[in-house]
Amino acid sequence: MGGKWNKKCIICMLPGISGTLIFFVIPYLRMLYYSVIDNQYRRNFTGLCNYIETVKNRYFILAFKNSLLFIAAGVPVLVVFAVVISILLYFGNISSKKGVINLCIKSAFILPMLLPTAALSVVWREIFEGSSTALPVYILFWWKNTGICIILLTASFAAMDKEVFEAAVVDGVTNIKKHIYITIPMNIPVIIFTALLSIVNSFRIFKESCLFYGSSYPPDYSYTLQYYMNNHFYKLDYQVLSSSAVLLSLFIILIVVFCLEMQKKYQV
Amino acid sequence: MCSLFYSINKIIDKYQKMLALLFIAGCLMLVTGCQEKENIKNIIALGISKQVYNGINVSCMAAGEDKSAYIAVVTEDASKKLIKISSDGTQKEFGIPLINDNKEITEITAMVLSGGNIYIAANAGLSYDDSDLVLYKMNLEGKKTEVIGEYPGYCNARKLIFTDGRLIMLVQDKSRKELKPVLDNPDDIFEYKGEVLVSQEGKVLFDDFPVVCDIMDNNEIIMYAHSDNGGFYFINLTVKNGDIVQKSEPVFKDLKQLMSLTVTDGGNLIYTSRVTNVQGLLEINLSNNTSSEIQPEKGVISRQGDICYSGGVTFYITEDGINCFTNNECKKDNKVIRVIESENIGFLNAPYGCGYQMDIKQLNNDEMSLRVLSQDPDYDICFMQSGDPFGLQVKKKGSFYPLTEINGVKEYLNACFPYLKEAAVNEDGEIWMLPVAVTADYLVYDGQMLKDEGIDINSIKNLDGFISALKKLPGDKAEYINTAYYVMEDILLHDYACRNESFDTEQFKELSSTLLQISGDGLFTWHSAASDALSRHIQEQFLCSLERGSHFLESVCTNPYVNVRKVFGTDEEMPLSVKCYFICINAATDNIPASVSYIETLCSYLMQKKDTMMLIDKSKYTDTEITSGLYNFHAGGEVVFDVPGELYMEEWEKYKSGKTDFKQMVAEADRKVKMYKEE
Repeated sequence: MGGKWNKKCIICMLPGISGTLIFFVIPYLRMLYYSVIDNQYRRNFTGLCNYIETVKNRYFILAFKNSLLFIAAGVPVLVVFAVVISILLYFGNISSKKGVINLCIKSAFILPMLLPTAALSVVWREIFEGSSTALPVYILFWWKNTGICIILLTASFAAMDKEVFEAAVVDGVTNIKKHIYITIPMNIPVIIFTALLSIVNSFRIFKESCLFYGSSYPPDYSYTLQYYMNNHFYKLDYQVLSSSAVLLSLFIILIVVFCLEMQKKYQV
Repeated sequence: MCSLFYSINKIIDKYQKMLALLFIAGCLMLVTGCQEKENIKNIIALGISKQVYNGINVSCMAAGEDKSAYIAVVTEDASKKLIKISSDGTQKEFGIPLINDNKEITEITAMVLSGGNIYIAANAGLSYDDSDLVLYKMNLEGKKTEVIGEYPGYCNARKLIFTDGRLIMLVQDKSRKELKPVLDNPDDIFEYKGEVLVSQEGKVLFDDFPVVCDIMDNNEIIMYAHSDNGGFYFINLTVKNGDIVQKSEPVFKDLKQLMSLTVTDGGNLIYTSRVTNVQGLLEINLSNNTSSEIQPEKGVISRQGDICYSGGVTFYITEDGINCFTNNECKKDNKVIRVIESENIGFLNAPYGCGYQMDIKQLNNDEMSLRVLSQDPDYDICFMQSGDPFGLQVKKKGSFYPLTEINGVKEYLNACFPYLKEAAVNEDGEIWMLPVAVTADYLVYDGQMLKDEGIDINSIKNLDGFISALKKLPGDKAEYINTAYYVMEDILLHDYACRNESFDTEQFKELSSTLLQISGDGLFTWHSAASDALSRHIQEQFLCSLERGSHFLESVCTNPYVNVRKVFGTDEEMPLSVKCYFICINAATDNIPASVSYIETLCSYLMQKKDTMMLIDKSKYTDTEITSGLYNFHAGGEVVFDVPGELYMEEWEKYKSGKTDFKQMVAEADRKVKMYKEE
């Protein structure tokens, strides 16, 4: 089946491509335009002035720092936790016996993804009332996103060649070493993809965070780029909004490119 | 994965055309599904009505000859007088009492003019509930009044019509008062009090639950009635020789229960309804099924006989007299001006249509931001207030069409108080908005009444003094003060937040301590009696009231004892904090010429409007004590673009409920305000 492009491939991809063009590419280009003008009416070209003003703003720096910290601290913990759980679920004793128990455990991890955000935030606020750190948001992020990571990882494990494990068992390799030297290396591309997905999801936790704090001005430790952009949206400051969005998109593009390069490196 | 792709490939091979059709259908569905289903109100917002009679003693009104109306008024000695009012403001009083016989007349309920005579329906009897209908005829030339009919079984004539050489009356039949109509829809409100249509001879012409009626140009009676099968409907009745000879097919139209109906030109009907949320008049054309609202500056009183039409002019009864407007001027042959307004606007008569048809949509902050930022061409004017969270940013960013070169704008701003002009001009010297209304917070009080209770308001220096004075009032007087805690809290916190950089001050500490002390006090609650008394000028029931805006002005402006002052607890040294309501033109609209033309018309209208509290020229204000007081307040005011309340109110509520202490509350509020200002 090779990598040949044919008419049928293009037809299949057409809805996705047109959607991406209409709802992402064109608006993105328009936003780039707005980020280099002074206002919606006069539209005088200002070059990089809006970017400089944004980057100099101490609250943008604070928001950027918090977002970066969330990615640096929250995502690795999530991925490691998801890998461990997936291995236990797929290779562990539970998986070989009583499919119902296995199903229940899997559902327990997937269920948080389906729970309504507003109700979740109310409960979270009750549980973590008085907290003076960003930990409640981190825990919520881990709890909500473990499920999807487990799904991806267990699907990847299912596609692995069983003979490799059989050979390892014959050679007398212990369970832990088996997973460290076989399971994980063989699934690095998927793990990287899971990490990438988690990075994207780390930005989507804004909704829960906003409901948890009940304000557009949360404590400094939880003030992320989404708050910064959201507040400028309400203030009708499109120039700051679009310049900060462009900067964020560049940052994400860098991360994605880095992850994809890593993925290529470990592709079998 | 490969097998999956192979299967998909096979399916595509087989069903190519169908898939393509499905894709196109899906796109179409998405596009049509995205259409906004809006409930668009067509509003002909008036800015050109004028008062032609000043007085609250109007019993009823009838259309007169060309552009005039006749009104029956009750004088101070309880006698009834007839006055003719014209659209140009002239009045002619008929000197003799309208009814001068010895019948005990409780109320004149309806009138009609025909052939130089005015026919009057009145209730006669010892009590309102036990009155009989009496018909009078007054010859306007000879000014002679005579009884032409007495109807013991009827009362409360709602409408008199002269057709077919005789009077037709819509009256209440006392024997039918207990009849209940069948209402299919439980949400329907229809109060039936026994109305029937009868001829002058007393013959019942139509008794199938009539509601209101009027005479059309072709001498047919248009009747709005209720049917057990189908609800409210319109029907045309032809009367000949004292009987209904023809009935048209009913046109079912659920306008709910109407209070008044009048026929104007071109088959249009104007009506008022007690049941709807509409404050003003509604207009409908049954033949082309169009409807619109006419929003007068002063609210229409929804009662029987409150509107009439004569020679292109509609007269309507208001809270303090009679206003009129010319229908043609009301609907200019212009493009419709599409307005979006912030949800924080509240009830306000602005923006004034000045003859332009306005489509007004009220949006929340999210929708507002989206429409403005996305350069939506589907609106022309943006109506906001300085308290909106984006108010200041709009000024800085200059995202709207500049008004600098529009005729009349500079003259208008020069005629306004300097601080309004300053607020309207941005850093680049461009005029970015047009102020159309201002409000502020006041304490309105009756000085004499307070003195009678032992309170000299001029000797009170601060909030604590004011509170102590109110607490000394006897319990039964508590209802006469309207100093609701939540209003006081909002005013004082807002005033503090707008004036000060930080909450960490002694001043705020004292203020919060005082507010906490009175928060649970039952004295500081909303008392409708005081508020009602203020609006209806009932002297003995009003001591003082916290008011937002100067809407109370008209009801008390002649009372020499009622005055206003700044709310105790606000900064006495600082200028009055004024909330400014303003409009901006959308730069992206395709209706710029009409929008510009509207602004020009609006400017000339606002330049001559009275008691706006925006204009410097004192001749534009009623010459009374209270108006002078308000003028002086506003002359020294300033427009403050607010810090949003959400930044500090949440912390304040937590502090009030004991969840945080004062230090934490102050730190958190300061942090949020700083973030808002500097981010």
